[in-house]
Amino acid sequence: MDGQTIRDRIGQKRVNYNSKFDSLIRAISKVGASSQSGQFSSFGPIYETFMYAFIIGYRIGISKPLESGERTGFNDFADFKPTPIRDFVLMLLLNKSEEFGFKWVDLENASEETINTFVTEIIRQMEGYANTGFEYLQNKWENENMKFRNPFVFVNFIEELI
Amino acid sequence: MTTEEIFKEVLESPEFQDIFGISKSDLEQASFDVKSSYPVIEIVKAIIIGYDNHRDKNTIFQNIQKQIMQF
Amino acid sequence: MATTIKSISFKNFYNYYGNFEQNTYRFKEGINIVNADNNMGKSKFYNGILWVLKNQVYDSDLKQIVDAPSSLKKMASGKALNEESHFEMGIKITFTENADKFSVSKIIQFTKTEDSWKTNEKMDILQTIDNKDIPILDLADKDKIIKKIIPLELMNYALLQGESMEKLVDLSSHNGLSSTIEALAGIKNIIEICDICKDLSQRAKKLSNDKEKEINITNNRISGLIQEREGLEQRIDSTHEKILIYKTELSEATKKKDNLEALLLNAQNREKYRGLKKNLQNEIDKLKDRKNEYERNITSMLFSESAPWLLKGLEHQITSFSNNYKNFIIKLAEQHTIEKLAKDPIILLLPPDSPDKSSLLRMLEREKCEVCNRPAPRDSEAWKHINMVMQRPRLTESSNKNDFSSFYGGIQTTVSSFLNSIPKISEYIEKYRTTIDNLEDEINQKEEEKEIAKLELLNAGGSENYADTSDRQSISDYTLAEKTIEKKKEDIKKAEILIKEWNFKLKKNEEELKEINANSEIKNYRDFKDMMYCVESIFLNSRERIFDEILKSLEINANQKYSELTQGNLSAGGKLNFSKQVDGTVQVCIKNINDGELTGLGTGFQRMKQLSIIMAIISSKIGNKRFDYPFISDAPFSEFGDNFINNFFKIAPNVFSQSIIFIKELYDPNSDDFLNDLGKKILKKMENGEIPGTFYVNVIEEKADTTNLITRNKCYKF
Repeated sequence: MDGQTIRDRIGQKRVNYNSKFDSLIRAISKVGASSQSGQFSSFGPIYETFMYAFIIGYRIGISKPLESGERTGFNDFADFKPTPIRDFVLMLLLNKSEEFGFKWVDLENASEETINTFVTEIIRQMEGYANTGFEYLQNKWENENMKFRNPFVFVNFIEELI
Repeated sequence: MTTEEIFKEVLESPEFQDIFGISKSDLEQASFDVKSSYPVIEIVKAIIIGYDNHRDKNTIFQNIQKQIMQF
Repeated sequence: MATTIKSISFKNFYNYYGNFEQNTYRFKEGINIVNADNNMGKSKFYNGILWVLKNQVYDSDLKQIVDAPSSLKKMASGKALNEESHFEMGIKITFTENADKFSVSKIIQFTKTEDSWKTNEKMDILQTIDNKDIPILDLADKDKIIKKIIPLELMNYALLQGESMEKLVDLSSHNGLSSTIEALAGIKNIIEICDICKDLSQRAKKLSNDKEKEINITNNRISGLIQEREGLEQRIDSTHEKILIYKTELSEATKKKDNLEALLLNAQNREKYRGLKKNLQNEIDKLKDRKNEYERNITSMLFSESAPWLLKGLEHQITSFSNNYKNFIIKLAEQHTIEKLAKDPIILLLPPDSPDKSSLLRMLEREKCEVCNRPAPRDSEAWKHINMVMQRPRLTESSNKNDFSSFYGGIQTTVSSFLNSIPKISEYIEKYRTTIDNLEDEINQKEEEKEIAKLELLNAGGSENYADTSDRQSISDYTLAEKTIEKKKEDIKKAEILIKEWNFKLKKNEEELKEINANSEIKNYRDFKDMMYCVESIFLNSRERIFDEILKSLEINANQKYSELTQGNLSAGGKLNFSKQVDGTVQVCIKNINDGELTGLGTGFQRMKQLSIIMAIISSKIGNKRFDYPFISDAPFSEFGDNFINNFFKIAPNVFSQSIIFIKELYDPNSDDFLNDLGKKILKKMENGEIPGTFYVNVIEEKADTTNLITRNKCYKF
């Protein structure tokens, strides 16, 4: 297997978020039909919201992978845009790949099955960090809702975690 | 204004001297008590007195006609 | 015949809750000041006097004078209406006229019915003779006594409402200043005599004409001339009538123009401020749109391709990844069985075919490294190194199953551009925040400016819901009035020319008739007719002469008052000029030194002009008559500075034997005695006798909404 193939494999994976964050996501994404979306600053497509939550969760440093049954799929990873940021996300996960049990050098000699497990795990960890991020946002939404009226709310959340 | 005041004021009009040729001293001497030799002065008196006595216009006119006849 | 008001008392009248004894002001000759702020019963006081003298009050909601009977409930104390089911509302004025004492009480009895109030009016007038109060019962006598307070023809000048009326004195109406001058001069009888003379001359003419016809009934020429004369006289008469109509129309148009002038200035101002408001609103909307766009773009800045704010502070991750990639390459090499290459891992890091084989050969032949530009003599360490690089095996020669280095390499290439841009993100965010803040500041400033424009609009009498069309209508009405004035003046002029022509023809006609008809009997009639016309003209001219004399003396007197009032003012106020107009009215304008009209004077000067005229009229001596009535004025000073107020108090006692002035400009709600510095000064002058009179201050007893206001007074000086 070469580099392009593994890239494609990762790209074809469907990404999920925890279903319990459905209303939150719709509240802060334009894709949602929430009538309140005009009042608050909001993201565009769900993958943007997802990548944002991922970055939050990654900065917090905790990954809480999804349990089965509590997932809502939205896009394949390859759909994520813009491409440089998508690659950055991948980069961040690859930086931690040893933590979830995969060394780069070992992958060179790994079987197809192992590679597939690796690909699944990448996505799983991605979802895990995003899960942490969504939890964080949900908490803010419930307890500090007024902050969402500030157009810089999402920038502020990031700066709080630096 | 009293009738005296009106009379004196009216006699200041230039017409008496310019049109009727009445001298200034004759004008100064004119009064309600003494009959003037000038018809116009008598007419003026008749009108003022007639007004003062609340006479109607017809009466005043007839009075004036009588005055003129005497001239 | 001097009238002096001794006291004014109120009972449940507007803010004056309670009985007469609780709301009494005792006045003297000199200046009587009632000092009070807005809503403290000041203009209601004035309303009381207006009610007694004219059965009218000023309605501050409708902003006009209304008949009192239609406004009784508004006049009654709110507290009394709320708390009582049966009460009396009224005013009592006691005054003296020379040695006679009078008391006038006007009262309305209120009785509550199921859903409204029943009212009953009574007027009690007493005359005090030998210390006994004798009731006056005859209605005509009652009316006479009330008019002793202030006569009707002087009411407009002796009873002044300040702020709420556009004009203090109606100088432009046909019956305005002209009729007042006539009243002052007492030339009412001469006017009536002129009327009689007109009738007499008409009779003389008829007599003469009838006689002529009678004698010359058979003479065609004479009949023809008589007919012609009658025709001319008819035309002259009807044209005279037309001229009267034109003069009335001219007067109405002039009045309209003057009324609109004040309105126009405000209308133009209102249009100006409306326009300003609109422009500012447009600018605000544009700024808000820009700001919104900036705010909307924040999330897209998070995901910008060049410097995504999302990745702020994560540049170290790129470095980590680079290191990881480097280590990966090293480890990979370690797995290969080429020992030499393992010792010099740096070579492994060179991309394949870099440098290319031909370049490496050339370097070996020339014995020079082209990378560092240093000699590499044959068999030296440098030369051996170059040789080793040329001979290094391809990593693709490995035996691994997978080859992910291009995967990692691809990612590295993509993210490397962020290495330079991520550190700058803080700066970008800061700039963005500042831009939005600046827009916010700009919006706030424009909103403030818009607020100011709105206040100016309200000050100019506009409202936010005011239809634009009203102002445009005023502006077009004004233009129409101006055009009408010009047209009517032109019509009058043309008519007068026609009359002149016809008079000329008439004269010729008369001369011809005289020539042909030299009958002595007719001559007598003609002479009589001529004399009667002459007498008529004499009386008319006398009337004009007297009027002009009064006007002149009024002008002199008014100018004297005007200069006394404006003394000490920084800007020159000009001179008052009284001129008789074509339509019989009197116009007063302010002229500068060169006799040009002085424009651009503020409302203050306009009011001073009017006040000077009023003072001149009131203080005029005509013949042996002197009008001595109370001058009652409600705050004419709102436009004036301290200087004027001082001047006024200096000259007023010489002009009016008694004045009652309601003003707020001496009021300071925060001071213990409710007086500001000027108020304290004036009170001091009163206490040491410099200004004779009394000084009252109105206070509000209960602070509540206007339904429950109670005004009480404190007498500072009696």
